[in-house]
Amino acid sequence: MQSIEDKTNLYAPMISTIKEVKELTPTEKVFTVELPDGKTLGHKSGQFVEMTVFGVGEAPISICSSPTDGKHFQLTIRKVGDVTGVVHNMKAGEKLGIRGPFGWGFPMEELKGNNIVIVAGGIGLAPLRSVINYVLHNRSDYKEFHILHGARTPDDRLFKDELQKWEASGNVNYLETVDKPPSDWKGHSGVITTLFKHLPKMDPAKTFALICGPPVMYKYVILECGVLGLPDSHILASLERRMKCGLGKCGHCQINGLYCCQQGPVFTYTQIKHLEEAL
Amino acid sequence: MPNFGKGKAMEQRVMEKKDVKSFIAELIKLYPSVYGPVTKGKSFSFQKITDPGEVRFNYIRSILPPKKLIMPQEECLMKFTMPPEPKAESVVNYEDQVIIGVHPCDVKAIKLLDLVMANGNTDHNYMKRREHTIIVGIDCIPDDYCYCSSVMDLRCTEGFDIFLTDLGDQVLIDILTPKGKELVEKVTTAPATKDHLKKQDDSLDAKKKMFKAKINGPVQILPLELEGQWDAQVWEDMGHKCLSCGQCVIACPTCYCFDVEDKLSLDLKSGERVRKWDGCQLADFAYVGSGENFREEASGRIRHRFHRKFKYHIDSYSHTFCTGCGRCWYYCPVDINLVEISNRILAREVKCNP
Repeated sequence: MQSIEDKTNLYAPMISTIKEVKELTPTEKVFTVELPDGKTLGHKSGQFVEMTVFGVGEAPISICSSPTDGKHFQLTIRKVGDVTGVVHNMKAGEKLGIRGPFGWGFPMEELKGNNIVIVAGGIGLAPLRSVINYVLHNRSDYKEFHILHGARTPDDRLFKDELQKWEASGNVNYLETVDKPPSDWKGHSGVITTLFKHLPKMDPAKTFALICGPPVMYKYVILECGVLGLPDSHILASLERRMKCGLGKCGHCQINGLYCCQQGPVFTYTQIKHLEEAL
Repeated sequence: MPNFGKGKAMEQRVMEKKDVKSFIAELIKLYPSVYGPVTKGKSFSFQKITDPGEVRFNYIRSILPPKKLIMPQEECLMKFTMPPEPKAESVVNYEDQVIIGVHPCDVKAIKLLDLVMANGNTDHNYMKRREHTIIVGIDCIPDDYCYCSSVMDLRCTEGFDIFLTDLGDQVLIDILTPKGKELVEKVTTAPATKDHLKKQDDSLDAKKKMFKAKINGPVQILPLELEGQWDAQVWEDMGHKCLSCGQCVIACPTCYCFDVEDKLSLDLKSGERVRKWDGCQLADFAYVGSGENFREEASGRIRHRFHRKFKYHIDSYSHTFCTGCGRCWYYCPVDINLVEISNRILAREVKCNP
């Protein structure tokens, strides 16, 4: 017996439409997506969706737009596998499947009234861009706002037009560095941790660090947060794992006993410091 | 919380052993599918029964656990049509089924899967099939690879609809659910007497003495004993032996990790999203698109599986997720087994990086 279930099945995606595709770098594009029937995603910064390319499969993608950005949402996608490879050839008007949003995002409400330090390495800027635009939209809710941004080369930086806007806004202390500076580069060079020395002195009890980047980055950045005196519960890291189902069942994203797709991808350092598999 | 096969035995009755065949024949008439253990080569396998004579009640562990009938190796979750105007519809495949001859370890395992699949985001596909499944448990004789006596109660008290115990010429039937009662009404039975129940107790006592493989301590203390043993030598030793073939997870009655993939029809106009069994012992299980593999070494994968059976899931569900069926050990080409690992953990050997 086979039944077609009218109930919303957890595995069936919403048929959604690509509204716009913008190339950020030769390997990264940002897709603006519209849900069906005028639905809004209703996500929080730091959450992710499962994106279906019909006939190819599904991949977890973090949401890079702020919940305050209006009806549509955006996904920054790096071309690395089957699903992401095919989506890179898709154009505005074409259809995707979307499930979600999933996971535990950044607790933006709880962070109100505090200083915020963003630490973004490489494509880790994507989920943090959602936070940055959220904070800029609600700027008076937060105190000092620092962005530390690291990339391999100037060309590898994502959202270059927005970076300039952030820097010029006067609302943010934007600091960036590149690992491999070309000869005409006038900015900072070196790994992202070298930017910490440029931060002003802040009250650690009133400061939160929000971190996302390549796996190798976390240990070193968390050490620097310790030097700033931040308590473990003020260090928020978004971790990358292979979140296949998003429902806490399939097992792929497990970090020790935690399911990254449900209890994460954003964790406080308190939650993960004793987990051998986390960092 | 799921409520399949829960509660106290409603009733205990006895049937004549010679009537078992006609009982099965009656079930075949009444239910679209009746599954039971049959011979497959030198082993046993749960297959659809068409002739009551095929059923081997004295079987030793089936190759795959009866889990496969509730969470199939491959199942369709959704059907879709391809763009430009794609449509997606959820799908559940199920039918009324009776699984007869399920050993206590596998009854317990299905009970554990019920807990997992109902927890948090309820898995609709699993639950639908589970609701349409009747489980007839049966007592068994352990072999050298069995160690259920170390990880669970030998007396099977939940997770089934009816449970059969061989008393010689007669069979004692523990009836647990209304569905089970309905089943038993298809056959001539008599109320069980004190004598019958004593015989059941005696057979359990006799079974207790038959186990050769044993974990040297209560498994409930393993979560604590695992503290500080993350770098224990046992993981390295097992990692060196392990071929990462994944037979252990495929054979395991409580493993439920899966992969989801899309399959296109030949005309490329439609397709199915299917769920397939997957396993944390396979090398690329924790691999991500950026190229990182979060459990790259076999030693780390074995440690993970052991923690899932004896720590993480005890923390989440208050149950050990190993039922001692012995399949992972029996089918492991290099003799890795959870009894040996448990005993080395309990013995607190010297760490490799003191």
